[in-house]
Amino acid sequence: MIQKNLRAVIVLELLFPLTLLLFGAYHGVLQVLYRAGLIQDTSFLGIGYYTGLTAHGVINAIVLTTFFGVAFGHAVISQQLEQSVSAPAAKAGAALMILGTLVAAGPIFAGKADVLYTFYAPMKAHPLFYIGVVLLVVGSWVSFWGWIPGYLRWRRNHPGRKTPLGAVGIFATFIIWQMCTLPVAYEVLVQLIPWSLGLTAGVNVVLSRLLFWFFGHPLVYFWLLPAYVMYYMIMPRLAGGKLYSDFYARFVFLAFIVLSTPLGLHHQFTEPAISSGYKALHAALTFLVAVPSLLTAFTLAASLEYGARQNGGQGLFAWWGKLPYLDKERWLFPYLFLGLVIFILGGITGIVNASYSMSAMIHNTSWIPAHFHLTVAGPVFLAILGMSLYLSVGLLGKKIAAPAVAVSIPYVWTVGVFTFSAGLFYGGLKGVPRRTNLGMSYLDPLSDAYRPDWRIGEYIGAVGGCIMGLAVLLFFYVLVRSLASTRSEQESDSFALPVSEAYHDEDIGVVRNFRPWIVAAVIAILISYIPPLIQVLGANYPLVSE
Amino acid sequence: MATNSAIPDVERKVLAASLIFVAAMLGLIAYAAIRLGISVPTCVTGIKPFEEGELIRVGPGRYEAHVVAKTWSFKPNRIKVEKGSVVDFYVTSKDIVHGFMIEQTNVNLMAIPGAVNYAQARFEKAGTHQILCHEFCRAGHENMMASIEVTP
Amino acid sequence: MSQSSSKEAEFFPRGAIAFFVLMVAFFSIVWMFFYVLMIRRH
Repeated sequence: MIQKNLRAVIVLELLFPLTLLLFGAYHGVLQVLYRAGLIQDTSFLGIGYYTGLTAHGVINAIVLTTFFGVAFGHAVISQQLEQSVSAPAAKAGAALMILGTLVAAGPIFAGKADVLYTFYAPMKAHPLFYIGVVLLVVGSWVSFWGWIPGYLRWRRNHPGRKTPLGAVGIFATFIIWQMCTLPVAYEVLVQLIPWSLGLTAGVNVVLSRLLFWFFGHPLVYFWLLPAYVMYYMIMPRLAGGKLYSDFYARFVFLAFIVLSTPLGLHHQFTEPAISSGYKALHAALTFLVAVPSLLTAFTLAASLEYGARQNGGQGLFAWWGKLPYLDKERWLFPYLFLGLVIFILGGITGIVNASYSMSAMIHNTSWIPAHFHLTVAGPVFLAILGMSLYLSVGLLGKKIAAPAVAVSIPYVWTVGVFTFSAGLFYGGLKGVPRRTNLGMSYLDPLSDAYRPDWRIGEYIGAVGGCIMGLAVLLFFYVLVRSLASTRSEQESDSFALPVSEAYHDEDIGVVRNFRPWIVAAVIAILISYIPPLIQVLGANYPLVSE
Repeated sequence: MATNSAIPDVERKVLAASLIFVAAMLGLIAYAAIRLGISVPTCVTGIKPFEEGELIRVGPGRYEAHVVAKTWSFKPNRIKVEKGSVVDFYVTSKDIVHGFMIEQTNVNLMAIPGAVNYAQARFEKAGTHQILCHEFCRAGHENMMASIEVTP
Repeated sequence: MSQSSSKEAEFFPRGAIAFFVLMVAFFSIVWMFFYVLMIRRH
């Protein structure tokens, strides 16, 4: 059962960003239209291209994901650790997050923070943009801290019992988040805010980038791990199966604590000022972090196979047919399953990105957004959509409206995102740049820079983007109609997240404690980041301003 | 026993297979870097930060290009070299972060104010290579380009 | 954990193994394609 005194906070934290998603998704569709040259202008309906791109990235990749991680975390922790979440901390966290989002949204929509979600210095945004981001992140910290006393109490009250898997996954997520937000907090608080207020002359750009990307890679695990919690904890049950190995599920979450952070330089392969040797070390560690995901693919397949065979599945492959793909009762299943299908392509393209010298072929081309729409806009986004619907409907005691539509949304989305990414992968290999308003030059037939051979990739991308937009519209249709249905207090009180049993329910000491893994994480970070940090600081780069 | 409390052996084998898979790819990348010289930009010392862009002819078929990226242009804007030339590109920015990508080559660099980046390219075939900025740098970003003409 | 009477033999995930092998084979082919492309573009 999920704490009654958290219900309103969780629902607010789910619905507030979803409301913003309307704008975020709108700007996504607009992006593909601009890039295909169907809009040939610097702005549309009063909003500039790069303003829209900033809104799209910040809302979809920062606001939505952070709010969801916290909200889903509240639900899982309160259910699995016996209602032990601190409600005052949860409310304070929510207030800070909402305030921060609104504070940052002002300058973004006023066109005073056209810096994209990476806000690379020395492009300067209005100070309220940075302050808003800080408040959002601090709010997420406060929400996390509110879980800790209850967790410690639970451990004391249940000596010898394994911490429930979902709680382990959520804690792993937020341990990673707590560690990796510290350097970006330094970047924003010490370097960027004083400069944006006119108190300092400029920014050490090289240092700011090192700090940002220290944060930028573990950020994707902050996005991904809540989805992994659903895959391990919920999906096997939905398929009528069991989690194949409880030990390996825990091992994966704990391995991510160690391996998520000491490898941010793979986002900086083409940058100056950092030795190729350090970049090579980070490349090797990035390959290592692929291993827990490869293991996950196997464990989840085995868990699904167990369920499918219970349902009469036969043969080496035919059993895949016995899963609840279009079952209106278990409509959440395709949100999770298709996210994993998308992630297969997201994963291999990520491995290509990590492959050191291969970066010259694809860095900052449209290949990059093609890749990350198969990850953050694949498994993560579908998990967020599905679980937001599931949680808000369940906590409010409502009924899912149009379950046939609900179950089809992930299919529409999958077709859309695969189409979108196919076009942008192809274009990227031909050199089409990302973050560029192509319709103003490269895809403008009247421009000297016109590149007719770049059209096909962007046209395919535009078709995909519109299909993705359609999926989002269908989602809002189901969400709004469901929330408008009559409420049942009884349903609301008895709502709980489904939790799978484990087939192999091992009890191994090394995965029963966070501490050694956190220590290992810190050691790994020190080894991988102190040398490049010394190199950067030692070179005394100048303070630069735009 | 319906549920097993022993770690399934097959998972151990999957873990081993995964480690071998990533090690193989890393090995091939290391081979490309060490034996074929295909690597990534590194920290360059020995070149002073420059303010002006210029193309320096070091010898027959050998050039040094000092490229300054600035909103929204590259200087020098048009580089001309003869077929078979080897060019050392040193790239920096005068204001904000820009990208520097030369088509049909492996030159793909970030131009960062205060730091100098380096890559080398050999131009075997005659023709024109477009250079473009691929990092958002405000309004004129989509028109920030340059070119290299390789004469026969 | 409850015991189900229909489970006599230990479940061995041969289907998951087949899937994993295919997935890694697919990854290898895709990755090699880009590796060769990189060498050729050098």
